[in-house]
Amino acid sequence: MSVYIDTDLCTGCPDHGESPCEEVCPGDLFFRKDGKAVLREDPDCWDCLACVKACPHQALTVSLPFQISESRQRMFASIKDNLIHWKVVDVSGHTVAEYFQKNRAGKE
Amino acid sequence: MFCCLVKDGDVLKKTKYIKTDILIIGGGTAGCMAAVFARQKVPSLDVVILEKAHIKRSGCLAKGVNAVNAFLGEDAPEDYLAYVQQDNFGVVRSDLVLSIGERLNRMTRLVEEMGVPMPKTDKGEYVKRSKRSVIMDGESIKPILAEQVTACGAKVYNRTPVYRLLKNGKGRVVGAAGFNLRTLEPVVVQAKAVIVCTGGASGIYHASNVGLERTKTWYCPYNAGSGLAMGIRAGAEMTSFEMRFVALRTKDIVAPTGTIVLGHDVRQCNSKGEALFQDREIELGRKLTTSERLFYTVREQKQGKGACFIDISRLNSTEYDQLISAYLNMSPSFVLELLEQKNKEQPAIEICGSEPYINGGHGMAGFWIDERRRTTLAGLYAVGDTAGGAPKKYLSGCFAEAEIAIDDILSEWDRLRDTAVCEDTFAAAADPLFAPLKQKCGNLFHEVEDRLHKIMEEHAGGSTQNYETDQDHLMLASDCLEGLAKKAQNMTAADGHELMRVHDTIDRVLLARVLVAHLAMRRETRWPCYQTRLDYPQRDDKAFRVFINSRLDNERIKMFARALKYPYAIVA
Repeated sequence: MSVYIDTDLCTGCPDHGESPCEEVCPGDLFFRKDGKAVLREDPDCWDCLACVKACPHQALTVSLPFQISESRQRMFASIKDNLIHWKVVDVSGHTVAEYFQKNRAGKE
Repeated sequence: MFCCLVKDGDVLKKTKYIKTDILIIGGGTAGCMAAVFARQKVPSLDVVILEKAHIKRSGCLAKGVNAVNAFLGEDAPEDYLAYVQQDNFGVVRSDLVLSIGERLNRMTRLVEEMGVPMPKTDKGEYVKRSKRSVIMDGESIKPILAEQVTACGAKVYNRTPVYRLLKNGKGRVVGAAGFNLRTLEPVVVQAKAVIVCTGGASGIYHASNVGLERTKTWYCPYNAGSGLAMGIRAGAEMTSFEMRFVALRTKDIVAPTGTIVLGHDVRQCNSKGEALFQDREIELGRKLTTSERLFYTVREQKQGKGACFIDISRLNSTEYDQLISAYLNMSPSFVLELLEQKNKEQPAIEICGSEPYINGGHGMAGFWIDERRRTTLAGLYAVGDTAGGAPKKYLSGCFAEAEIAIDDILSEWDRLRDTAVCEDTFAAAADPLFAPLKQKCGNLFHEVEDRLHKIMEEHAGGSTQNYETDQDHLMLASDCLEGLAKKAQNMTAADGHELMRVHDTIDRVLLARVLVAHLAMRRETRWPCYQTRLDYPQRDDKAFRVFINSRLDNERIKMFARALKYPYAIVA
C-alpha cells in the first residue's frame, strides 16, 4: 500500500464535478464511492504524489511499500503561495522531517 | 457537425466530432509546448490537444523534475553532437541532434520565463550540476506548462486516449480517433496537421519490483507508446527500437542516480568497496558511455562482487539536505529512503538497472523522421520521446522539437490550409475501439500484460536475464508474441478505465513484436545492456554502423537498414 486515504479527513469533495485527486491522477486510478475517494488499484500507483499535492484536506499520504521498507513513515505535501510544504511522519504521528520549497517563481 | 451512434450496452452515445487546424496527440512536455508555440506564433490557429490523463499532471514530468539535462551554455551544438555520438557508439542522426543542439539554451531560458524557479550563481548564471546539466526546482513544471496551454487558448480534451490515425484517400494523415474514458463518448478529430507526442513505452518488460509494487517504474508507467503503435498500424517507418533504454537507477524506489552522483563527493562501488568505473576508464582512455556504466554495474554482480552502491557517507549535512531537496522535486518517495539512510553509520544507496523501455528522449527508438520532424506518413509529425534518432534530448530537447515541427507546419500553411475535410469517411472511426466493452468473457488486460512481461523478460533480454538474449530466444519470443497478439484481440473491459487499459495493452504487445524483430536484425552488440546479443558479443562496425528500421506491410513487420549519413539510403 503506498497511497493512504484518511477517510476521516476525506470529504469526497462533494462540490467538485471531479475531485482534485480524480482530476490529476495520471493513471486514472481514483473514483468516489459513498462520498469518499477510492484508489482503484494500489499496485498501479506510480508514487507520483500528484493526488497528495492536490488534496485540499491533506487526506492523502504516501508511504513506502512494506516490500521495500518496514518503517511505515508517511509523507504529506501541500502547495500554497509558490511554496510546497513537505512533512514526513512516523507510525506514531511524530514529525520526522519537514521542508518548505519554492516551486514557482514569484512572491512566497 | 454530425452524429454517429455507437452501442455501449444499451446506451447509445453520439460521436464527438471536432475539426481543427493542428491536432496534438498527447499533452505531456512536448505536446503542451507544441500547442503553446503554435498559438503564440499564429494566434488565429485552432489547436486541439487530446490527452489520456489530465495535462496538469500527465506524462514523464507528472512527478516533477530537478534539472535541465541538455543545456549547452558556452558549448557549441557541434560539441553536443560529438558527445551524443560518442555516448551512442556513432549511430545517431546528426542532423536531428544538431537541430536540437541549436535551440537548447533558448529552450532552457524559456523554462525559466514560464515561472519554473532556476537557482542562479552570484554571477547570475544557472547553477551547473554537470557539464550539460543545470539545476531547477521543477516540482510544478507540469502544472505550469498546463497553465501556459490554457493561457494560449489551445483546446484541451482530457481523459481522451487516442488509438487510431485517420488517413484520407491519398494516404495523408488527417486526424485521429479515440474516446472520452469518463463519458464513453467516441471522439473523432479531423485536422490539417497532426503531431504525435505520446511519449515512449514502459510496461513492455516487467518492472524491477514485482507483486504489489509492480508499477514502481522509472519511466512513467502510463506511457503505453500508443502513438508509436498507431503509427505502426498506419504504416509509418520506425527506427532503432532495438536500442532499448535501460536506466541505471536506485534499487527499489527506482529514482535517478545522477542527482546524487553529479556534483557530489560520492563513489559508486561494489560491496567490497572497489570503485566501479575508474579502472575501466583508465583502461579505455576515455569516459564510459551511459550504457557502459550500466554494463559494468551489472558485470560486478555477475562476477559475484555483490550488490553495487553509491557510497554517500562523505556527504555533510548541508549536502544531504540539498540532496533531499533535489529528490523532493523529482522523485519524492525516495526521500523516505534517504531519511532512513541518514541514521545509518555508513549510508549507501543500492543501485541497479531498470527494466528496458522504448524511448526516444534518452534512447533513440521511435518514428523515423526528417529534419523537419515529419514522419514517413504525410501530414503526421513526431516530436519528443516518440521521435527516434536523437538520444539525450530530454526536456529542453522536447521543447526544441515541438518548435521545429510547429515552424514547419506554419511554413507550409498556405498549402495545408486547403486540406480537404471529408467527414463522412470517418463517421464511425472510433466505433471499433468499443468492442472490448461488449466482449463478455474475454481475456483480462492484466493477464495479457503478465503474459507479455513473461515472454519479454525470459526471451528478449529482461533485467533478470542481465539484458542478454540470442537469436533462438528472440525467435521463441517472436512466436509467442504472435500468438499473444491474437489472444489480445478479445480482451474484455467493464468501464472506460478498463477500455483504455485494454487498448494500452494491445499497443504494448504490438510494440513488443516490433522490438523483437529489431533485436533479431541487429546481429552484433552495439550498446551493452541496451542491446546485448550473446551470440554476437562484438560490435561490428563494418556491417552494423546503420539504422535498423521497420514498417508494417500487410500485417508483416518488414525490416531493413538505412545508411548512417544523409540521404540515409536503404542498405541492401
